[in-house]
Amino acid sequence: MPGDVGLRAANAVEVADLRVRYRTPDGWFTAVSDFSLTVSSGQRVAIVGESGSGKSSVCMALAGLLPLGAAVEATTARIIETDLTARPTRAIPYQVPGVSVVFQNAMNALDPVWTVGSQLGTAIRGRGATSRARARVLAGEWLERVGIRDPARVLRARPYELSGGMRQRVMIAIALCSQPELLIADEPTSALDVTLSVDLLELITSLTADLGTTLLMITHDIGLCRAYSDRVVVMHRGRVVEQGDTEQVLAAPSADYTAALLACAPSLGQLNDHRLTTMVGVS
Amino acid sequence: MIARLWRSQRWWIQRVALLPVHLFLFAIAVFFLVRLIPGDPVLIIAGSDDLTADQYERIEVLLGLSGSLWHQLMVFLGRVVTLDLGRSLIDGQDVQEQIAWRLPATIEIALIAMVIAIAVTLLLCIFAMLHPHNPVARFAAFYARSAGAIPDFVLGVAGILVFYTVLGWAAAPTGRYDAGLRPAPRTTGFPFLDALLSSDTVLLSSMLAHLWLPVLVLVVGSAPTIMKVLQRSIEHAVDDEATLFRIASGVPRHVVIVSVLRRASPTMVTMCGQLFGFLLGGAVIIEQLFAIPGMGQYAVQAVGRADFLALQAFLLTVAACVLVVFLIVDLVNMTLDPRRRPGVMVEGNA
Amino acid sequence: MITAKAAAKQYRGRDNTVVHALNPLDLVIEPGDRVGIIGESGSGKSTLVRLLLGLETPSAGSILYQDGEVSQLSGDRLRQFRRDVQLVGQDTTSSFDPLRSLRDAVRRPALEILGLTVAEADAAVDEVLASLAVDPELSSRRPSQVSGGQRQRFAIARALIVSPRILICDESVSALDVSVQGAVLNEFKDFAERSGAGIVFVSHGVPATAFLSDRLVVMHGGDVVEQGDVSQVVNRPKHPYTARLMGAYRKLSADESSAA
Repeated sequence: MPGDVGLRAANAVEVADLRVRYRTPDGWFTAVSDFSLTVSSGQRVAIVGESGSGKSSVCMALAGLLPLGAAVEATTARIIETDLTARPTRAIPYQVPGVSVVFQNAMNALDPVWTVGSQLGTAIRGRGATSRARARVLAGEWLERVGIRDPARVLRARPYELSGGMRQRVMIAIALCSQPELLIADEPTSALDVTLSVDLLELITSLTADLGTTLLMITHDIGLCRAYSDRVVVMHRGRVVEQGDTEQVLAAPSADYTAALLACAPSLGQLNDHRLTTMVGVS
Repeated sequence: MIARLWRSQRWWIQRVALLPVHLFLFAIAVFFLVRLIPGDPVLIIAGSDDLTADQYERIEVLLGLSGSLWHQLMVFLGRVVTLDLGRSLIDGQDVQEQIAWRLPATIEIALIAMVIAIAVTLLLCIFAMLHPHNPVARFAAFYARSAGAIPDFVLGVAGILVFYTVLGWAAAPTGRYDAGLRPAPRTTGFPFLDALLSSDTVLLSSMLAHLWLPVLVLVVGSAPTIMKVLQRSIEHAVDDEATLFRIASGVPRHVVIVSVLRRASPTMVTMCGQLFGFLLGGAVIIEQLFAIPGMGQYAVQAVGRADFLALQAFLLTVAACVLVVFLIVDLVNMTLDPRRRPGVMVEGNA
Repeated sequence: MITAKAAAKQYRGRDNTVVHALNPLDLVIEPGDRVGIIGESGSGKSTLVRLLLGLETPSAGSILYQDGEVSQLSGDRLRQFRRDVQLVGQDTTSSFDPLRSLRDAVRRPALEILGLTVAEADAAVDEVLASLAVDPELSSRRPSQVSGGQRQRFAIARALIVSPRILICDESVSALDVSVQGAVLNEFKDFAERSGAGIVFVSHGVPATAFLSDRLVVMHGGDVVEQGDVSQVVNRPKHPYTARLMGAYRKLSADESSAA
């Protein structure tokens, strides 16, 4: 409901000097340091980086879902209304109010033993007072909203009885049905084929735009950033190397790393190139 | 319509239909097993070897040992199907009757112990899941690691020594209730349940005084086995992305916990099935230690006296019990986790 | 060298349904050819790879290696086949023995297929590692002690050490970071140019496949929906599926979105 947007806090995410460390048998391992990010409500921000860049740690830290062995420190860490630094850590974490997450592989994220109807229903009812019957109706509507043609069948099905694309759509429905203020998408399509990826990102971006939900997307794919984000944050080895307006950063990167990352991906426009540009010392 | 019903329901119908097949195969196994007992059962039972041919033949027929092996098998299966397992030639008691009153008594103790063990395990594991650094959780982890380290009979002897001999908290290990009390009128066949139903408070309190220690021994001895399994599968289930996704979708706390437990429980249910087998076996030892009449006592007697028919009946009964328990385990698991139903294809995490 | 003649594969699923994993397909691969096979998961490309390597028998038609059915090869002919045709797969972690050094893994085919002595094989390992610009120091480590990109290079070295005439790459770069992908793709290209060997590059990623291939085969639902010269397939696709696929990449690429 676009009318609500005005009532929301101006910034969905306000993080300064975030550091994420993990306890390992050899002492503390620092996955992210000096991470600062401000996202105003309704923006679409992409965090891009390769494996080991710390982008997933950032996303799990902001969603409040890191395990007990992780330490999160920051001078400021406000997500919607919640101050992350004031939250006690727990073995089984609590949701940061207003924050939903979409994971990479719905096969792992959906609960294998419950039907789609039950999982979607409990998410719709949330902690609110929606009746079961009403939740059932809304669940069917949400499935239609994410482009599932036979909601009645899918509601009765369990995740493993659906195709990969359907599962991903179901996950998106569950994440968005509570109308969150912030959606964190952790590599939402990287397990999928390109045509499906594009369809699903179209779906995510159009739904979040309808709901006025802020989108924070984590990806390794510069193509996805280009098409589906307003701002981009480039991470490398636990630090932010560059951030700014997506079009500007990709057109004229200021950091060498960003430039190298842009240059080394093969593209259909350079079929006859003899060799790909490679990054020296990054492998 | 019928075809659709069959497709959606066949998972349990097929499983239930397998039970008679399993029972049949086990009956045949028992048939051959008891025939492996060395010596001539007829002579052992007669107690001497100067029998007339006529006497010999009569005993042979009573034991089902006359004629060809094929003939014997047919006679045996016929007796199994008609539930006519014969009358013991040693004490003249009907084998069926003996089992009919002893089996519920043994199962009752094993079941009570199992229910308590499962309840304690669930409570400790849920607590440890929510508060992993609490001392109670650490104790539970230590206790679970001790699984199987101390045999039941050691626990039993130590229990009697401490709680009866030294502290005097437990009643003397002399049976299910004080000598001189009359048993409750038989309504269900389960002695404790009958006592409860009869509202004979004297009998009931005597039973509680006699039974708490043997049950405690079984619980303490068996709980770590399931606790170890449940703790590990809960840890895995908590770390699952599915748990994080449930949390992030904003469902109430109890839904998250039930979701973790349901994903973690099938391994524990399987373990409980095995545990029931252990407990029946453990009950054999405990019955001896505490002089409680039950299946264990019966089996020990039967072996001691080479009571051929009693032994055969004991083996059949225990096999049937275990098969029924495995059936229940399978059905519960297929309900908890539908991926375990036959014909369900789950693609790998590609 | 390898010829697929109307090769098809069906599986019998549960409930006796027949799954057509691969519909009859003709394909000829000679040394020097660079064939890219594109398809999403479930398109039949993995089945095709397993058939080409003789890991499975076609349900109909045949896969021939010098006129012999691949899955029936034995003895010297099988050794020759293994020498001529090598695979670089996707999951390099599980294809290495976790307790042995990487050098050991790369040396093994030299000992077993080429029949070299240990000293000769070691020299061959050094040579192939040098050609891939891999630090030879790394070869004493175990598979878990190097990065994914380095491990993939050792997987390539293990395939290249026998100087295959056809190299089959099954999703060989899909699990790698972009920055590493480029370098590995360059290595495949260098090898093909240097040795004149053929490459069959199987992947769901179109840009990487197009970079390495002269000819593209597009698979969808067990069928070859389109094949032809790489620039024709990429720029003037005939089949609606191919068009959709290329459209998706265009949407994500620089030139198109800046134009839009």
